[in-house]
Parts: sequence; C-alpha cells; structure tokens
Amino acid sequence: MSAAVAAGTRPRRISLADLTRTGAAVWIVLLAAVLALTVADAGGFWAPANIANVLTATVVLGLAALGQHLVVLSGGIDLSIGSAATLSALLTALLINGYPIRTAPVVIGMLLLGGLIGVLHGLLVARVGLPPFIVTLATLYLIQGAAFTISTTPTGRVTSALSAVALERIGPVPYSFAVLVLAVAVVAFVLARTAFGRQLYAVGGDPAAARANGVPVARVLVTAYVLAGVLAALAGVLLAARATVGSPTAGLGLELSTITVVVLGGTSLLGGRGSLVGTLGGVLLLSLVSSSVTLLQLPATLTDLIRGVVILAAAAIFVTRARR
Amino acid sequence: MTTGTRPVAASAPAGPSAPGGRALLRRALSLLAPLAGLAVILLLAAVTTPGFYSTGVLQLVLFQIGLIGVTAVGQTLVLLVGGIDLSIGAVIGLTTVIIAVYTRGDGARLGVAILLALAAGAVVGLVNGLLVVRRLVPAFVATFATFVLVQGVITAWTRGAPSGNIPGALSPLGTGRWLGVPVPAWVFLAVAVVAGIVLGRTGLGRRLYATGANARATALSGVRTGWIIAGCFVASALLAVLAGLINAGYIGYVDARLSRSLDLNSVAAAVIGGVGLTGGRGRIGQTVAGVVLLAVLLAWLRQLGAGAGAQLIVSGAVILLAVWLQNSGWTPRSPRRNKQRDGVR
Repeated sequence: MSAAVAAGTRPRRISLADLTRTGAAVWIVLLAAVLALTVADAGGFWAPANIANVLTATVVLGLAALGQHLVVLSGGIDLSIGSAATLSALLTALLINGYPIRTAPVVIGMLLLGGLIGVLHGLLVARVGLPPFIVTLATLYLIQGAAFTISTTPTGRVTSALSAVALERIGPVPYSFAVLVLAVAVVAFVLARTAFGRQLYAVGGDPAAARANGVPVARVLVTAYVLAGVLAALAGVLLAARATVGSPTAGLGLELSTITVVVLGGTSLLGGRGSLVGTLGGVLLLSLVSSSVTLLQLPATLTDLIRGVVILAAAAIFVTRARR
Repeated sequence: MTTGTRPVAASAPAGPSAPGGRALLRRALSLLAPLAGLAVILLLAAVTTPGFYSTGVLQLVLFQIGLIGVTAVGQTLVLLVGGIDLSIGAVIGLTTVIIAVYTRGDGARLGVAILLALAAGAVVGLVNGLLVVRRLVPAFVATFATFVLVQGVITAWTRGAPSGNIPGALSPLGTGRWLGVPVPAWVFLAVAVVAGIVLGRTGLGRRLYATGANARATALSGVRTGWIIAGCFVASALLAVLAGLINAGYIGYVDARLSRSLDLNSVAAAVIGGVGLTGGRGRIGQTVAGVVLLAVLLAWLRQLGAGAGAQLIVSGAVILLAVWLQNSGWTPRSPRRNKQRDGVR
C-alpha cells in the first residue's frame, strides 16, 4: 500500500531511494570509508601491499557477485554459489594435484561443471516452476554434501603457475584482478549490448509480459543460471589457486556475501532492475570492510560480526521497497 | 470496508475448515505421500540394516523427532504466512552459548540464563519480523542475514572458542524419559498439539491462514497482518530457543560447530509433510508426518554409516523432491503457481 503511494506522487528530487537504486549510494559510502581509513592510517591503507589485499579480496567475491547479479536481475536468487565455488576449488586442487599438464583441462572441466549446475537450476526454475530460493537452497546442501563426501579435509595441490596468477602482482594490482576485469567487461557487454541482456531485464521485470512479447523466458532463465554457475566455478578455481590446496569449506558464506553486495548496489531482489556499477561498488565496499579488520588490527573474531552487521544493514536500508 | 464479525473465515483455504466427510478424506490423502515415503524407508531399513528395529535406535529416532519437531512447528508457522526462517540454527547455537557462558555449570543461575536465552530469541525473531513486515525484505534474505549476524555475535563474544558447561539441571529436558519415551518427544507433542489447536480451532489460526493465502485482501478486511507475520517469526525463534535448550541438555557441553550449520531440517520436515512454500497451505499434522519421516531417514542413514556429506546430500535431495512433488499435481492450481512457473518468487 505504502509502495503505491510512494511511487505515485513524489516530486522530482534526488532521494535516498534514487541514490540506492542507481548504485550511487554505495559509492558514496565507499568514498566515505576510504576517507575514514585514510585519516585513520594513511600510510598503512595506501601501502601497495594493502591495496593489493583489497583488490585480491575483490576477485573471488566479484566473480561470484557478477553471477548473482545476473540471477537476481532475472527475478531469482542463487543460494548455491558458495557451495558451487567450494566444489570447484576442491576438485581443482584434487584433480590437478601438482601436475602442470592437467591445469588447463581441469579448469575447463570446472567451468563445464559450473555450467551443468546452472543448467540444473535453470531447468528446475524455468521448466518445473519451482521457487528459485528453495531450488538453490536444496542444491546448496547437495553440492556441499558432495564436497564433504569427496574430502572433509583440505587436499590436493595446484600448480605453481596457477597459484602465481592468484598470489603475484604488478605493483598493487594482482594478476587475478585481470580475470575479474575481463569478466566484468563481458557481463557489462552482455547486459547492455545483446538481446539476451535486454530479455533478462524483461523477464525479471514481468515474466508474463515478457512471454507475451515473444521472449523465450525459459531459455533466458537457464542462461542466467548457467552464467552464474560458470562464474561461481571460476571463483572456485581462483580460491584454490589462492590457497594452493582445495578446502571443502573454501566458499563458505560466499552466497550471502554476493547477495549482500548485490543488495548494497541497489539491485531489486524482485528482479528486472539493477545496476552493475552498484554491484561493483558493493564488491569493493565489502572487500574494503573485511580487509580493514586486519589493517586496523581488530581481533579476527570480529570479522564475522562486522560482516553480519553490514549484511543486516544492507538488508534493512538498501533493499528497495517491494511492490506486492 | 466492512468489519463483520468473522471477516476472513470464508477466504481461508481448505486447511482449517470443519472436517466434513470430504474434507476429512482430503486430509487423509494429504498425509498419503509422507506416510508412503515412511513405509518405503522403514522397508529399506529392514532390508539393509538388520539392527534398525531395536529399542536403542527407536529411542534415538524419538529424540530426533522431538528436536527436529520443535523447530519444525515454528518453521511451519512461518511458512504458513508465506515466509521462511533460516535463522533457526543460529538461535539454537546462541541458546547453548548463553546457557554455558552465563551459568558456567551452576544450576542456580539456570533460570535467569533461560530467560536471557528467551529474550535473545525474541529479539532475533523481532528483527526478522520487522525486516520482513516493515522493510519488505524477502524472508529468506532477512533470516539469512540474522543467521550470519548471530553467528558473528557468537564468534566475537566467545572469541571463536566457546567454552563453559551446561548445568546438570537441564539434562532431564534432553536425556530424560517419561513412560519410556524421551522427554523431547513429549515436548514436541505438547508444542504440536497447542499449535494444531491454535491453527485449526481459533480465530487467530484463521487469520494466520488468511494472511498466508492473501495478505493484502486479509489486511483490507481489517486483520493486522503485520503483527501476525511478525508474531510467527517471534514464535519460530522462541521454539528454536526451546530446541536449543533440549539440545544443550542432551549433549551437556558447548559444541563449537553447532552454530555453524544452517539447520535446514525444519524446512525439510515441513516441506516433506506437504506444507506449502507460498503460504496459507498446510497443517501441523502434515508437519508431524514430515518430522517422523525425516527423523527415520536420518537415523537410517546414520545406521548405514553415512558421513556428514551423505546426510547433507540426502537432506537437499529430499527438499527438492518434496517441493517438486508438491508442485506437480495433487494440489489445486492457483494464480501463484502460474507466477512460479515464470520463475517469480
């Protein structure tokens, strides 16, 4: 009821809601956080090593968040991103196991696996008609269970070439950041310049209207989930590269972090509306917050609490009001 | 807008209507799927694990039924109003930690500790409810967020290494027996009966079903749907505290891993039983059937020697299968369902 009132008679002023929706709000918060950290500890914060830490943290989160962004735009949600990344990280390290020749096939295999998971999600959501959150909640359990069945302890070993991608850097920029930049460019192009991009917004906004206008709703949904699965698998490969071993808990909590940054960026959880720039701002903000815990020498046990506060604040403040 | 004496009774779906002949038949049929599943599992268990039909296993199953069941009743209330509560696991963990840290094993401080745990649970439920009702945050996002926050609180408070002892005075709640049946099962029975009466026989129950079926229409007919939805989240959190007490009394110490798991057993039990995810559909009887099915299934898996991974896989598969079955026939078609078909939550 209140949503209808708000939408009707608001004069054209820049409101908090507008800032949130366009993703500008998160960049303002980000700027404030950077200023605060500069004041608090300029030398430490702007040191190349610290900047590299922040950028490294953005890579895995950013890749997974891009996938979540696409799925949320379609009006769905993917709660299994964390466990998909976990499975991919575990299998990457386990299958490569230190043999350089296996690197390329295994990485390609992982991306295919991610795509396969996405196909399953897409078909269950689009063809069978199950609610996305329950489908991906169930597969969260399934995939995490599969990972635990494979191994309950960290295992395997990636090649030094692969770990170099994650760990080495030019100045403050880690090599793996290039992977994220590339992925962002691809997703931005797909959203802005292709038929699929436009159809994704249409399906997320109003699936019935989209179908009536000849949009292949099911195909669009499946594609969105496949892209999310592939990006999650890629994030998993980089997780393994960073840790040099595969852990059965590598991607724990990634699903919620990705939802957080998407929400922070002002994307509507109802689908059809959202800004990629906002999501990227959210990725930077969350990476900044989590790496600042170390910078400011706060106890590491506070990390979870701070993450929780950010998530709850994002849910309370940044979720654009639903139309029901 | 008319303010009749019973404005919502007519719009309430099949659930709470007086059991005439056909309604009774429909009720029996709705229990058919979980009971058939139970029969299959019991058969498989008899074939694969010879020691399954022993009093030891039966006691374990009954304890599991009690523990899962208490949370599943709360989950059912939330599901009935169209929500979902993912913060239950965190509240269970928080309860254990509060009891252990506050009492340090001293039974005299148990009463205050329980009140503190209940207050903490009420706060969590209230936060969930406020986010969903006032901010219109999707329930699974709001409760997932509080799950992470409560976990963070536990980690920061205990510095990552929870310690302390559970007073022995609490152990009868977890390990005690009455008439040969574990106390948790009795607790579950009491909770389920109360919830069943409230849902099926009171005006509050009718308003609850109506809110879940169509919140807007119900609000327009004068029901304070916001209070009902928030109340369900608070009730779910308080029942999670109760489950936490049972669990603390059973294991007797703080399990550091406890707060880490996103406990989906309550969702699985309710959904297997046939409680709808979109609100307004389902009864406590179905939840009870789902709880029994899930508890037997988990006990069988443990007897088979399945690890934690296999149990997760089975839980996930069972949820998926149950939702799939629910969605494919034997429930009346609704506009909501067509919306789901288009991938809308």
